[in-house]
Amino acid sequence: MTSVWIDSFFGQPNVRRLRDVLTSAIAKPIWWTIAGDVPKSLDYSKACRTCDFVRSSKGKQVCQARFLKALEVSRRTKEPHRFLCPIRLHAVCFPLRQGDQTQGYLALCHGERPLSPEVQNLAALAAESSLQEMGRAIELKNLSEAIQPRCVALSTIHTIHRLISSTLDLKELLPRVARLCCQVLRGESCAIWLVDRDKKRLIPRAFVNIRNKNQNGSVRATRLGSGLIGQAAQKCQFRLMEKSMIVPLVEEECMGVIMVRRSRQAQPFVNLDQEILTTLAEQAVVAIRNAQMYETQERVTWGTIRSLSAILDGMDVHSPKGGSSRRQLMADVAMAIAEKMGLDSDLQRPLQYAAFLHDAGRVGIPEDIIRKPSKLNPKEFAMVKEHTVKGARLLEPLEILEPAVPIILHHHERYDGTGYPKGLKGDAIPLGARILAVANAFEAMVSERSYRRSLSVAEAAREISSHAGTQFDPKVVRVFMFLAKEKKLEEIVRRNVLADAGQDRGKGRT
Amino acid sequence: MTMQPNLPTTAIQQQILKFFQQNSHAVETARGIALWLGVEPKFAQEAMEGLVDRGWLLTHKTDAIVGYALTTDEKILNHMRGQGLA
Repeated sequence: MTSVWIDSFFGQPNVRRLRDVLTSAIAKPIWWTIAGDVPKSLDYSKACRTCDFVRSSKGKQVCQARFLKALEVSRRTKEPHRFLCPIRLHAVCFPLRQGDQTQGYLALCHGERPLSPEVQNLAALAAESSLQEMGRAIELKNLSEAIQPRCVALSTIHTIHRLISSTLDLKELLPRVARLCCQVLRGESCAIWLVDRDKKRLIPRAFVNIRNKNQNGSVRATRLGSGLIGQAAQKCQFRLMEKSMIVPLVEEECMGVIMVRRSRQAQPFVNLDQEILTTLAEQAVVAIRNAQMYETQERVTWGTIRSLSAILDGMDVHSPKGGSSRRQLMADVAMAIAEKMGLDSDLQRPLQYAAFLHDAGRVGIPEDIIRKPSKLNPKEFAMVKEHTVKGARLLEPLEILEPAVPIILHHHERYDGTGYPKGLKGDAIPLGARILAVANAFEAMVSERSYRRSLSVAEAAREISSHAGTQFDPKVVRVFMFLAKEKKLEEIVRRNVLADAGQDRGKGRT
Repeated sequence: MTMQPNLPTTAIQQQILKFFQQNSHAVETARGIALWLGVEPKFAQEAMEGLVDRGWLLTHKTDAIVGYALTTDEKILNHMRGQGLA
């Protein structure tokens, strides 16, 4: 430590300059650097290469006695001390002082000229100032070494916060939290349970094992209060064991538990690890609560949409099986296209809502027009066309449906600009509306109507393809045709037909 | 992972690896690393992607952010220890 300190001191540019000045002033000196207190003996291995006198043990003894005495004077007076060595050459020693402490000594001997008091005082001043500068640098370095790991930890917490708060999907969030716990705590596995208050149980919701990914089924549900996990949840208690840690997820009450394990070969967990896991758990609690609230909101939204959809069902006279299955089919086709086109989930959800509610505006159209089996006259058709605007107006006040409103408003626009209500053309039509237009037309063709037979999937696909660039967006049609070729559309139609059959059987029983 | 990692080739990659060895609990973005090391973010990004390709680092990704961290693969960590890097 002290030699590092001395090296660092002599490495400073100011000290190197001071050495040059002193070397020139005293002429060909031997340099000594002594760290810490005045030593009991001196190391002559370097000095004896220059000074013949100290090559003999007797000479060494005489020189050392005088040298140590001079150092002692310097220590006592805290001042530089000049002296003559046994062979009458000039020597001087400087105490290296930092505040009240003497950190070591700098000494020169074997000089051909004496050091003038002025140069000596200047040198002492320069050494002291360099020492102070070095002290500040060391202090700063120590401070930086102490602070940096904390800054890195803070930065990691911030990154983790960003990673876990960027999703509101619990199925995505909880495994992500588990993986991050393993990462940060160098754990082998992490499991997360959430409390089911009604059943008084802890349900495993995520398990990550970074060594063995096949162990995912090995975590079981447990009763509150039972076992280590159940007790940790019931009493909101931490458990720090050698190779595992259990931390409750606590908001106002315990909402779950995180357990992290290390492998047998790994270092045991320490208190700091528990602190880190607690901080992670606090972040996870906020993210989980947000995701749960979002799930609840989603359920409410879907409840609302399904209620509205059920109202529309009663009005859907074209489909003998009712409108909800039609809308589900349309939603499935629209989502398959959107997914294939790589739309973000933020854009897919409004499209799904719109598929269920695209005809909501029909509630404002007289029933005799909707039920009319023959061709509509121009006045009646104008009224039917209003359903897009009416639907958009009806749903506008529902904030959650805001992104779906433009899709509903424009789903009868045509790519060539001859559609309604605005006559928008090409990419000016919202993408969701262009997708829904294809899904809507496809659903109408493959569904049975009271006034015409249904088309097969292949027939409907050919029909839609023939209107690419006029009625429909060619890019959307291209993706749609790909899905047709891959038999995805047939799967969707079959699935919805089976669901219908199930509904019918259910109806029969009631 | 069966990858046999090669030694990091660039000075910046060595700096990054040293940072993660000294802070093995860290999860950091490329921008964060650039700040720590005082380098251009795009150079940090390139270097980190190279380290991910070689298996030294792994990523925690979302649509909005990529967090980089030291690998948890014991084989690679042992290899690093063998090279005097961990």
